[in-house]
Amino acid sequence: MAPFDIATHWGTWAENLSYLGFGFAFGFILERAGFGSSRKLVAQFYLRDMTVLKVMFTAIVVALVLNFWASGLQWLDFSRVFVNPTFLGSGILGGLLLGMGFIIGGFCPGTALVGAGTLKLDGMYFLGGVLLGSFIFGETAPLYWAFLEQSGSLGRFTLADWLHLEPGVVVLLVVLLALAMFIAAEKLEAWAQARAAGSNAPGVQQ
Amino acid sequence: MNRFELYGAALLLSAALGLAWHGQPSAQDRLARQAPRLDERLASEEVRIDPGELYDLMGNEQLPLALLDLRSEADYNLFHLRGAQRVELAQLGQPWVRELPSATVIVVMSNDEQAAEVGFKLLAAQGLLNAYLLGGGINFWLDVYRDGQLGAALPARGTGDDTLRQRFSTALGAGQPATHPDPLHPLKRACTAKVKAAAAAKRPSGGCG
Repeated sequence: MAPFDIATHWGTWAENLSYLGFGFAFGFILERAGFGSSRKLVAQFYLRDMTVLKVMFTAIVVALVLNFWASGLQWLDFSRVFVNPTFLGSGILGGLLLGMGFIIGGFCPGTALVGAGTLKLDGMYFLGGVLLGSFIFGETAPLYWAFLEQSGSLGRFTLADWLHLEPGVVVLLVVLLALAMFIAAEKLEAWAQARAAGSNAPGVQQ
Repeated sequence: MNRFELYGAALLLSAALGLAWHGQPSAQDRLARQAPRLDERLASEEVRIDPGELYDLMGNEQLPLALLDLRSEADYNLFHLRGAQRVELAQLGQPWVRELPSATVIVVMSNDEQAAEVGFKLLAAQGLLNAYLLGGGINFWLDVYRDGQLGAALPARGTGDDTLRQRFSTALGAGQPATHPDPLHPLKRACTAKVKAAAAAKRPSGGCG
């Protein structure tokens, strides 16, 4: 039953090869989805192109459904799957900072790597910023470690724990939410594009 | 939305509806599926630890140890190991056991081994890597540490009917003698160590993509 301990069964090399394979596939798909372009990525914040939301949310719900079907059929022991512990305070602050960085810089760390991989200068600069920021964070972390470690620490905390619902029901709710967001995203895109076209029409004051 | 997207959405929704209807396996479902593998582990005796090893583990303050006593309340009140928590078998299928720190060594015990074997299987079926059972149960522990039979051989698996054989005049629980190691006069018993404290693999956290 999954998850499999690849290193124990097949050795560290096999484990490293699996990282390489999944990393390559992930990067390849991100690049093919157009996530190496900061213009495309940032367009979502201006509602002109919601590809990022659609691709990411599709990946999330597909993985969610497959994981919990595998768990439901006892092919996967979900209790042994590592779930990032929840730290509400630092999570919210970090999310805000990441969002600001995403809007200003045009990338998030993963897509910056994709952009740098296709030799885009803005991706490389952003990656440099990520490395510098990581270094500064690492050097100054002890100053605010108590906040990071203790602000809203909930341990392994999932939506099912929060809502007190069966995981299958939570999956259904998330899928419904995703579908609603896809429909809303399409409408927002059409509205934003029509607005942009109207403002660019001859005779319209800028 | 084009036709391809509609088909995809319908497929996802159907899968999610099916999942909500199907549900997740209970501890009993997991146990039923994994029973052959767990029976093999029990038969190999790799999870059946000697009282001598448990005695040493109880004296090791660095090791997170959970002693789960599956006996009746009456037997537990008469005698139990220091630090042992009395739980019903049904409680072992509940979420709290999965919330124990991953490196915690869990030792289940009954008077002999019948209930302890079921308890071990319930824990192991939920993916707890460090579940063990006390070989010979409380009865054999008492033979060794109360009656002083330090050299007695571990009884064969399946011996006994899981009733408490020894008699006590008072119900002192962990206040009885021989409930825990005496750091000043430790009792050494030759045995083969079987506990391997394995921690669940912690993967590095991912980014946003």
